Amino acid sequence: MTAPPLLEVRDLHTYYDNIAALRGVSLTVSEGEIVALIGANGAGKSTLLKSITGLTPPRQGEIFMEGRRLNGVPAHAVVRLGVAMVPEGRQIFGRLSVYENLEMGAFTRTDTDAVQRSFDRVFELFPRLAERREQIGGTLSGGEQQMLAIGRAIMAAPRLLLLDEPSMGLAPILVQQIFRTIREINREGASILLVEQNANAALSLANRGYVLRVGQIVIEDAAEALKENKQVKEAYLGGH
Amino acid sequence: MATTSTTVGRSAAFSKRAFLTILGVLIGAVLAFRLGQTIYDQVWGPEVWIRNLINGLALGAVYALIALGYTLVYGILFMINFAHGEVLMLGAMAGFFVLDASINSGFLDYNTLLTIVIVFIAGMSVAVVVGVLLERIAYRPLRGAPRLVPLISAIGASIFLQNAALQAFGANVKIYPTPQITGLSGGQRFGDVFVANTSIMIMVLAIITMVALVLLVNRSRFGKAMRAVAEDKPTAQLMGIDVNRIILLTFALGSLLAGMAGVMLGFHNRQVTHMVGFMPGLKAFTAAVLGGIGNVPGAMLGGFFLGLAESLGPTAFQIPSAYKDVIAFGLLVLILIFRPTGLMGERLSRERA
Repeated sequence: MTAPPLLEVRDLHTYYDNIAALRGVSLTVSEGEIVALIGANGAGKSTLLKSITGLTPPRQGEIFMEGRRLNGVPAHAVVRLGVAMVPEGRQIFGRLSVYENLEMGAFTRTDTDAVQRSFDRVFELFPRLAERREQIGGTLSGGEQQMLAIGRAIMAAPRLLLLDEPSMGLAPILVQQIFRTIREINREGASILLVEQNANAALSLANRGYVLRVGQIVIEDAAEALKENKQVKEAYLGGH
Repeated sequence: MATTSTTVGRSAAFSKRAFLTILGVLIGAVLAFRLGQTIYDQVWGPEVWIRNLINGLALGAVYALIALGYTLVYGILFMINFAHGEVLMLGAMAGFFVLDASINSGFLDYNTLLTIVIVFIAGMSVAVVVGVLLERIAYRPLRGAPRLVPLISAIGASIFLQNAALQAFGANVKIYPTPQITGLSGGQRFGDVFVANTSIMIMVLAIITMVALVLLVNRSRFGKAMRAVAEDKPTAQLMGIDVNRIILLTFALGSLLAGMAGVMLGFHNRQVTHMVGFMPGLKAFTAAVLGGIGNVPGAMLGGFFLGLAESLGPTAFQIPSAYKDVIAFGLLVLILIFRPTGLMGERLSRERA
């Protein structure tokens, strides 16, 4: 018997009013894994992340984090169970300084020494943020805001990091840098669930991948295999 | 045809700006002329100016404290808490009953300072309880409803609290016996200028409180969480911030300030009725809008600005001081015409509703 996965999602159904966004999604993320979730716009990728974090609670199905049931846990309590999220569109606090944004990331943590180590680590990963620590978040460039959003998530010292489209709107060189950092964070012990439209980059980084289409998982495989999968190639990798 | 309509649109926008500019220059010219006349004719001696300046500052300090409650709640919920004045009134009422009891029991005679402190604590505590209950009962169930709905609920809560106070405490005027209280009765003479002790107390206490509030909002964990919630509630939740708790604490904080202002007004005006929250509430709301609602320094600036305008306006322009409310609300209209987002307001379009 293997240990239970870090994150387990079982037969999840999530609705916006009466419109189904997820229709029976099951997936797992094991300790130390990077899992990519790819799919077109509107396939339900962001909804899945929001269901896991409790922002959009599912109507049916179950979510387990390290064997603990997340259903019914309010969104603000989920981060205490080791789940941090980098939301779509970064969503940094535009009127708080860079430093204050990072402090918010560590909001639930009380061990000041450990928090200080997280600060040091974030500034090491993103020296740009260290230079601009007193700057107001809203005045950062798009790439810097993405760094800040990721740094803020690291501040929670998560066991599982959910990333929603971290490459969106960034120049290719920045995307590379962000993806390198994600790998780095993973090596340091956080498991990662990565939602991406940039399927190629995501699958190069991930161990495994899922393809989501109109609210359902249609393919699940090792990342290498998915890159070679004919359907995936046609729908998400090339074609343009 | 399309060209014509855009030309019309542009010239309409231009003429509106031109109209506003001309209007602004005219109003400015009339006021400046009148002020010049007042000064040139030496209608008032310096002691009148200084006296009204100090009155204005004390009044402004009270407006500022109340306005902060409006602006904190607006900043976090985009909602005007129209029952805020009633929170103040109930704080002032609670202060009165504690003061009355301490006089009747003779406690006041031996412990003057302690009594004043207890009266403030009682007023502030009751205000906090009322504010928190308001949020739980009248506003929280309507979270997520269209913005007009909690507004109507707030107006309803205001009328309810006024009438509940009328039924519970009667319509008679309750006297804060300030002249009996050593230290608060009388005043200080600085040359020709006499300043009431209550004015000094209000200014000192209000300024200390506002400094503490600014530090709280800018530096403390709670203050940062409050600003994060004001900006983006879902993301604040992802950080582990309990949004409902922060909203409740924000109401508690605003109500605490209102309770303090209520007791200040009680000591200063020496009386309380169930209507005592209405006008200060409305004025402080005006002050918050003047400063740019949602903005903490703006509320303070707006409060002092309005207090000074009310107090110095009649002096400067030689109008009977009975017109002070006309000045206050006229000012509101004028500033909103020229700066729709208030003196320190950001562009509202950037505000997420």
